[in-house]
Amino acid sequence: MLIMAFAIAVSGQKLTDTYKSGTVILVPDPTFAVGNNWEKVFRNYYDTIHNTPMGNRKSVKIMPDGAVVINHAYRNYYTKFSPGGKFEKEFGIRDSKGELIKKINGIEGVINHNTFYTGLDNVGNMICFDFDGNYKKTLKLDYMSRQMIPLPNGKIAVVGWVIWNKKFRDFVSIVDYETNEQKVIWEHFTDRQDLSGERKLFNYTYTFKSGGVIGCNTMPFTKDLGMTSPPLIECTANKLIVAIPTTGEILVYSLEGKLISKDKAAWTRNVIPVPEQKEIQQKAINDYKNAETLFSESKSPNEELKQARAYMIREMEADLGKISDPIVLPAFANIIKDSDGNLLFFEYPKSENANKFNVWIYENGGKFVCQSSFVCDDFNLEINPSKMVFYNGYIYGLQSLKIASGVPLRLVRFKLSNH
Amino acid sequence: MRCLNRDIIQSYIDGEVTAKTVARIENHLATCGHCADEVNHHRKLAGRVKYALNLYAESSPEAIKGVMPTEQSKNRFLTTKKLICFAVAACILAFILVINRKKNTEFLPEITTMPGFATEIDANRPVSKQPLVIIIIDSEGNVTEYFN
Repeated sequence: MLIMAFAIAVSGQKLTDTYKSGTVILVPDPTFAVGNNWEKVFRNYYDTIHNTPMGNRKSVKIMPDGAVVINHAYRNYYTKFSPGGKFEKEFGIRDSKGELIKKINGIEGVINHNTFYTGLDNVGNMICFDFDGNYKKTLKLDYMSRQMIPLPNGKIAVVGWVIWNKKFRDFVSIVDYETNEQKVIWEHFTDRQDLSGERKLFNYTYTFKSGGVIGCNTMPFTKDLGMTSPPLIECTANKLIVAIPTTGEILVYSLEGKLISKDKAAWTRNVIPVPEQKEIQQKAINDYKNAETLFSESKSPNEELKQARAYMIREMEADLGKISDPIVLPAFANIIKDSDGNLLFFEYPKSENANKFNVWIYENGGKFVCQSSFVCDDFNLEINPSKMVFYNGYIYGLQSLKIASGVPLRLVRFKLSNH
Repeated sequence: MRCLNRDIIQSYIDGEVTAKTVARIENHLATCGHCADEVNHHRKLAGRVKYALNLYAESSPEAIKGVMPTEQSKNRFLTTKKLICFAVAACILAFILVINRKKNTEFLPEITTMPGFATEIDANRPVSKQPLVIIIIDSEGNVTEYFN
């Protein structure tokens, strides 16, 4: 109760006032998550898959009462903390017979204030279960998803994508939790350049005489497979916001999917300058030249494999001389909603820790308010909606300490300050 | 027990079958050279593919995409789980694709890999420092992620 009262007192100040006052300092709350054995709680932090570190692939979700749940990628359990941040338990999902479901996906959100829903599994199942882990139902979608957010009307907005014979389809749909019915409210088709035979800068393919194709892409935001940056969605003020990073468009829909208004981000977009592109391209060339091990590992007698590599490297080197224009970065890197309902549109930073966000409020239609940024003395900030969630004026973060012995990852609650 | 189909073999290799089923499979393998060879083949293939994929993840700034020759276009997604090693194989490299092409073509009319960033961008890091992800989709719609 004390914590809640304190939180309410803190939230008395509007967050926009803090943003308007300049850089926002994130100050860890020393009363939160005290006494947890982080080595034990995050014992899977050093997980690897094929020697690639995977343990930091976690996300934080806040329950309606302020309790916190952590997802661990490829681990079949969730970790629950009390509203004060105290470790409570690890739990999974039990089927109707009370048996633990063997493979579970991360919790994507809470629907109807009483039900967790997971990300889609390989066959498009979204598992829904109560806060005690008891299975409730399965929703089925016939596509792949990038983002799923709950809406206050008992529906779920989904950013989906699918590959068709000749096109990629990126879209946003609204899924009814009760009926599983879906309504596509926005879609974008991209021709499959990879099948056309026409080569775009930074995209390389080699077709083997005996059949089969090898290909690669060497530069961010230039791949010829679907949208280079898919839509981002968020819900605020009973509206669904669909932001298109490639164009900077911000579309406002009703919760039923009716387009209400359109706007466009007016801030200057960062670029990947020509020298940086050349640096990236040269690194790619070096990497492919050094891929001898892999080529010999295939043990293929087919000399054509070597030809393929040589061809692709030649093309890459040829492209090096063709780089002449900066690549404009998408308008948004991600969107985070604060606990006052404002949307923070983050840009792609020019350098590390140079984050910058643009605050929009949607109480009376979309309106740009100000620009600001986050800094923190104690933690290396990772800024995305999986690692930062607003609740009652605070940011609940899953962040890494700058100085730590052992596991650096912490569940932390930040107060927002200008001092 | 009848001879094993590929789904069962893959589930067995991945450790996704119950202890009871493992016992039945191993009893069968003890007496069926054909199935034992099949299991060995798929084990080796999976190991080779994972090894090669890992090498590429370490060396490639953005991973490759691979498309198998299409005998007939299919647009089936998100059906039953199939042989993951085939998906991985086709994605990484034509080397492995080519090696196994004749054997696998009937299962792999098309494989696509989607190189790109992890699903959520860290807005505190520049583009060149974002973690990369390779999303591999096989002809049956199975999606596998590999991270660099």
